[in-house]
Amino acid sequence: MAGAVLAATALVMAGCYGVMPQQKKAKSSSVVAFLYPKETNPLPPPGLPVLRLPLRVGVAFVPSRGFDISEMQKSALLGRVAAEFKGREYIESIEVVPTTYLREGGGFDNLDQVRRMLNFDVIALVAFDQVQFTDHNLLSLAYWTIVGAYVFQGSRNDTQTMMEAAVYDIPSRKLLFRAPGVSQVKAGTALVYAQHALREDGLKGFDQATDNLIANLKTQLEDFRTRVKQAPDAVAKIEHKPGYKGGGAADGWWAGGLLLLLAARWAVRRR
Amino acid sequence: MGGAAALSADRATAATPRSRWPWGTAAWLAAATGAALWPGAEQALGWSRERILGGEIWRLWSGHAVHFGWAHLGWNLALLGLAGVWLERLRSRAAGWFWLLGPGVIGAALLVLAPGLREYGGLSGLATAAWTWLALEKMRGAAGGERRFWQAVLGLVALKVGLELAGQVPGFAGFAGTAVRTEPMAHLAGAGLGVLAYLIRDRAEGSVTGGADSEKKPGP
Repeated sequence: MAGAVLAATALVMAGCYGVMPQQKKAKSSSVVAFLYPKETNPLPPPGLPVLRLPLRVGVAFVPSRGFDISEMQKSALLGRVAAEFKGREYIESIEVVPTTYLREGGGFDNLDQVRRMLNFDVIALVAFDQVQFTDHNLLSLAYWTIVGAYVFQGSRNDTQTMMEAAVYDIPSRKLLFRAPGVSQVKAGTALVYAQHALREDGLKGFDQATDNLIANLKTQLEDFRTRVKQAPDAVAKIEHKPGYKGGGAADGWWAGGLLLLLAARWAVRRR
Repeated sequence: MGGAAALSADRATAATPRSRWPWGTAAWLAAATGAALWPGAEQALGWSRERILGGEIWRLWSGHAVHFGWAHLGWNLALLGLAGVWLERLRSRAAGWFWLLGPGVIGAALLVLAPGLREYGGLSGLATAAWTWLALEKMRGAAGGERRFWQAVLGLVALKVGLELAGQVPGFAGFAGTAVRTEPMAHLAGAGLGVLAYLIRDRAEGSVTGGADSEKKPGP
């Protein structure tokens, strides 16, 4: 009799476990959908891009549909990308462009507007695709005990993120180069913490994908420079802007010297 | 002319120093901070030879509020804030004319003194002017250690300008990691403006003994 009860219970629980479906969440954006919203088969424009060095560069996430990451998170990720490319002699400045400056399907007309407003020549458009799966394993049977939903890690989150940066010369509408960044984050969690864990994994996924994207962008940038040197008539025409950009800087040593003098004066006057 | 009259009117300020909110300094600090938070500031406000010569004269002034990084902004705010507040407490009305006209004078001087300069940003030209003028004002009538202190301040200004003109710019400019060069002519023009402000005020006031407030109202 007892054996029959146990068998029946096991069957019911196994049935319940089998009923818990895999959950999936996805968010994405697309450079092609932003640049060519009405074209099904966009063709590259004719002619060579003319790059005037040092370049002013913009970097922006293209707008995405529906569920998205916050503007602050986007800005932080792009800030990291921008920081990696500052200081190169052929890059004059890198501006992080808020996504609010771009509209869905805005295309090159939208980029022209932002370019005039923020004054850059080249833009790195970043798109992403993140998919999150939640599967339940045998431990999820413990969720029926309520306490088990807090204690046992019966759910397994799998977050797959892909980012892509496409660098365009805006006046010529030419793609200069592109680079991907990918990551996969897997983690177990209890049912109650599953949503929180998903958010954490999502951010971690973007973080790791950005690291990968930066490394790949560096490689692609060097590769682009090599191609320009080897075949300048086939890749891009390079020109140099006349003059230079100067700044009036107080300098740490000067400021430090003045502050030291002031401190000494204050000490003497106190005596 | 109005400036000279105002400078003369500072006679009273010099004799009986009074507490005054440093509006000019506060305005420039707020403008620079605001510009740093606005992504389009460099494009809209920056000193650009091409655009100034094209008629956008306001850039001679507004360019000073634009900075090329937080370190660049931070040092400039600290030094301009310190000298500016001190100067406004010492010579309030003359300082008002200084904040109004000084940035334009430095901006215009850059057009002539730095022919290769395409774009410019930063408050340090003004900061150099403020420290130079302040030191000259405080040295007048001062003696002993006080005089030596302000001589040392002037010496530091001269050292900075001299090193920059000689191309020996120490590496703390806040431009590490950018394609921006320190512009020595901005500081030379700033020092020149400081001397000019002192001479104009001195001429306008005649034989008024300056630096009198230093006994009653010590600076920061």
